[in-house]
Amino acid sequence: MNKYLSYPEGYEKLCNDIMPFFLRPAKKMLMPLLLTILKDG
Amino acid sequence: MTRQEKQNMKDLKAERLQLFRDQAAFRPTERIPHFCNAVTWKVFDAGESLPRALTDFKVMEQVVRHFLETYPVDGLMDVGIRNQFTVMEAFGSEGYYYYTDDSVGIKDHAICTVDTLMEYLDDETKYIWTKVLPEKYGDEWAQKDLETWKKTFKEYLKYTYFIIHMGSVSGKEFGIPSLAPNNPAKGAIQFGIEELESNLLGIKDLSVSLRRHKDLLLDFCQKWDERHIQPLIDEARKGDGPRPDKYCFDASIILLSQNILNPKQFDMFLWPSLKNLLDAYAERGMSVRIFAEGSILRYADHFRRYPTGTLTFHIEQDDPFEFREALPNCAIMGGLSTELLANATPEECVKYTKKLCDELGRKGGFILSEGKMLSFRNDCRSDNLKAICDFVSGYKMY
Repeated sequence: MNKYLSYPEGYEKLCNDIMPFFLRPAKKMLMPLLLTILKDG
Repeated sequence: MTRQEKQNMKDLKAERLQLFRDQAAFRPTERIPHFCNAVTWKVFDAGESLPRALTDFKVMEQVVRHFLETYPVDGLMDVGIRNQFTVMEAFGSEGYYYYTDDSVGIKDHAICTVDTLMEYLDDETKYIWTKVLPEKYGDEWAQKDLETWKKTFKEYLKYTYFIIHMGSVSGKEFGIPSLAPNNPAKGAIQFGIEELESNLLGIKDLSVSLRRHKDLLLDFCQKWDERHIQPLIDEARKGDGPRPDKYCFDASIILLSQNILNPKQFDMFLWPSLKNLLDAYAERGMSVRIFAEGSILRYADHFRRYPTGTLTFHIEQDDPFEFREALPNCAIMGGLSTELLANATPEECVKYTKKLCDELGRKGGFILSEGKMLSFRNDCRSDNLKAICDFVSGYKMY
């Protein structure tokens, strides 16, 4: 079972797993545009 | 670049900002500025292929450089950052956007139905993560492993860096100023009814739902605007005010829904929030560019209340001379149609551009631009655009 599918736990885990440590504070700024690209692109 | 070259570009950028601000405020200027609406057409003009340019940032950068070296424009709507195919290709699944050798297209889609709108509003990220993306990608969604996600994120960071890099290239090396503060990372100014049309329901379902589910849509729009537009109103009221040193305009709004709403629906679904936002900008003396796709003239009476200098309409299908008569208090951005650019001779293009400048810009209130985004190979002839750019950059208004 893909551990990233649930919300918010899976989503938060994915954010932490894909982001380098130094970028995690910028998660709220970076993730919305990525989601928009995946949603609309 | 040498120190002198850098200073020259800084001075040119400042000069251009002043030209845009002055014309928007109906202050006469020595020449009329040209904010060019060239998008994908730039790729063809540079002799590049769309597949190469859309998947290789180095190639797209050369496309933009070629354009800015060839055409002396004062502003450029797109510096090569509109399409994010590299991110989608890293993700490894088919999306809605696609490209061929000749065009970029988008497949019709909507991410909500009338029944799920409030669920979306309740928690947008949750809805996207648990409903939209699984439905869009089907079985592939659950199979996306960490390696794929890391690859996608890496491409996304490259794309983000490319946005910043191209802003720097166009600004520092070519003296091109930024249009307005809202950008891809911060998001566009999007009213609820616009979001319904463009992304959530689509034109067809929205048109039907406006009649069958009016109260639900109104509730949605009011709550959406409370969440997304009210903060902009608050920021306009309490923020720094006009930023003429940094941006051509203090805000940029795109309106599309007025083309399908009837006057009663316009007044119900869009105007209250739009009016509140524009009022806030007007109170602070801020300058707003509104790209009115299709036509906006049948709602001209709504915009007559604003003092000159508040609104600049970037018009698409409306005739600029009719627009000036209907809304003498609003500056015009536009005037160049693809019919002219594609089919006329350079001499005819220059003659018409001179007419636009003389009749609409001599007393201020006019910024030359293309109504439609120049997207397809045949939207414009290179020699026509060159002739217009060379003319308007040297035509002295006084």
